[in-house]
Amino acid sequence: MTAAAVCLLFALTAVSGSSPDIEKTYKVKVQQLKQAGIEDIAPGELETARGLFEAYGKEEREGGGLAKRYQKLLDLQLKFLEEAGRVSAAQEEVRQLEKEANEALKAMKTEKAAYEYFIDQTLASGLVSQWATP
Amino acid sequence: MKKLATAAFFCAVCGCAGATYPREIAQAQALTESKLALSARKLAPALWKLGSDALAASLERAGKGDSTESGLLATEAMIHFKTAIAVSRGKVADERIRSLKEDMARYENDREKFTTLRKDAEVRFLKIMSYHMEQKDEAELRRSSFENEREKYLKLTDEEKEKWNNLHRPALGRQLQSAAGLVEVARFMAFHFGELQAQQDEAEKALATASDALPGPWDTARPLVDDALLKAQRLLMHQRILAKPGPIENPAARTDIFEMVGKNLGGKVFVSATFKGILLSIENPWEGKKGGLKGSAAALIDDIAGLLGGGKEALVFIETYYFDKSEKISLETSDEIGKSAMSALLDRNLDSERIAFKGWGAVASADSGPCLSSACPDGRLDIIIVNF
Repeated sequence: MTAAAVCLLFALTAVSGSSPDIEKTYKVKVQQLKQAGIEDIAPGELETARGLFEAYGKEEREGGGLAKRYQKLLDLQLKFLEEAGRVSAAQEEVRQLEKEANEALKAMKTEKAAYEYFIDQTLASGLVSQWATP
Repeated sequence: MKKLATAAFFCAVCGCAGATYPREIAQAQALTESKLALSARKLAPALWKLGSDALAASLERAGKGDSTESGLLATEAMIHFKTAIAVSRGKVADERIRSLKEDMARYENDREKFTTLRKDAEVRFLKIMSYHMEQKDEAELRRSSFENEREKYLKLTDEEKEKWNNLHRPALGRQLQSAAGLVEVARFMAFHFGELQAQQDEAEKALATASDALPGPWDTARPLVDDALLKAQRLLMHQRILAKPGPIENPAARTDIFEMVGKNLGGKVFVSATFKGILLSIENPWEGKKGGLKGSAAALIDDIAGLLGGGKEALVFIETYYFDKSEKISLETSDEIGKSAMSALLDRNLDSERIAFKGWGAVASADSGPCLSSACPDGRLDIIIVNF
């Protein structure tokens, strides 16, 4: 990397406090997570991510040497939030499926009862003493 | 300067006392003691290990007084633990989703099965009820007719009663023969479509009771013969309605089939619609003393087999009669006719299990046909299409 490029990168990070890619990724992910309702799913965790992002930015600006550590923690935190969002969606699917399964079970039992009713009625008539199921 | 020295002193004291543990360590440790930790350890072991390792490293750094590094490691540990917990909950949810989808598929499958069974049961129930109403009317008519005639019968002298008995006995005999034929066909159908053992036993018992009463007084025999006939009819009808896998309609009741048979065979054989099925009656099929089917009879059987087309669904019952003075010869010869007819049909690739015969000997047939009794010196062969 040329000296000029290094200076340009340093200038960029100096202005924003963080590398442009990391900042963009962070903002995009936070937006996605907010849209997915992460603030209700995992209250306070987005704040933790924000705290890590700011700590990362401070280290980048001040050249403190812990920027990479905070970046790693931020990555881990964002991954955790994505997982939490996926789990929440899965749990919602479970609730929906439980409802549908109960309805399917009820429908099956209704048909079974109707079938047994006709056999009972036929046998109760006394005309036939046994039923031959197909 | 003084403040700096005080600060340095406190730092030294803390360092010697074993460090200040960051609050992140306590938070991470709390996660390891949570209710979800057990499940997370089991279902996300790799992530949990990352967290445990980070926590151990954090404690070590804290012990050495490096609170910044310790705090970072404890934070990392917490995130790993939380992620592990989330992953384990996700797996539990995924498993539940899989299980629920399986359950739903099974319920849907069962529902469809029961819908088919229910529709089938409904059809059979309605057919049975409908037939019951018809038979109830018929039974009422028979009873009413019997009561009327019985009134006259009871007023007769003993001699007149004896004449009455002898006069009506042949007709009762034919009705009994009709009932016996129905029971035979029902037994044959049971082999293929499922048994109605209790009803079969009931019909056979009624037949036996009526047969025993036939030689006796008419007013005893008549109701028993009516009962036997009604039970035999009901047995065969129920055998058809309750057949597995679905109701078997009498082909004689199907206009399209009956007309087709009539069109193809009418003029060659006697065709009639009976309770048993489509009856095709061949008069004098036997070569008499020489034995063996006549060529003309064999040709007619060939035509009938051609009509059935080797159909997998075809069910054929053969009834044969032979009128000799000797009961033994009559029975044996009617059996021979039956076997020959069956063999001729098997040669045309009909399934051996779907054909049966009954030789009645010199008994007068209860079914209309070209000859009812001794008018056919070379016997009578009835091929009944029970199912087409």
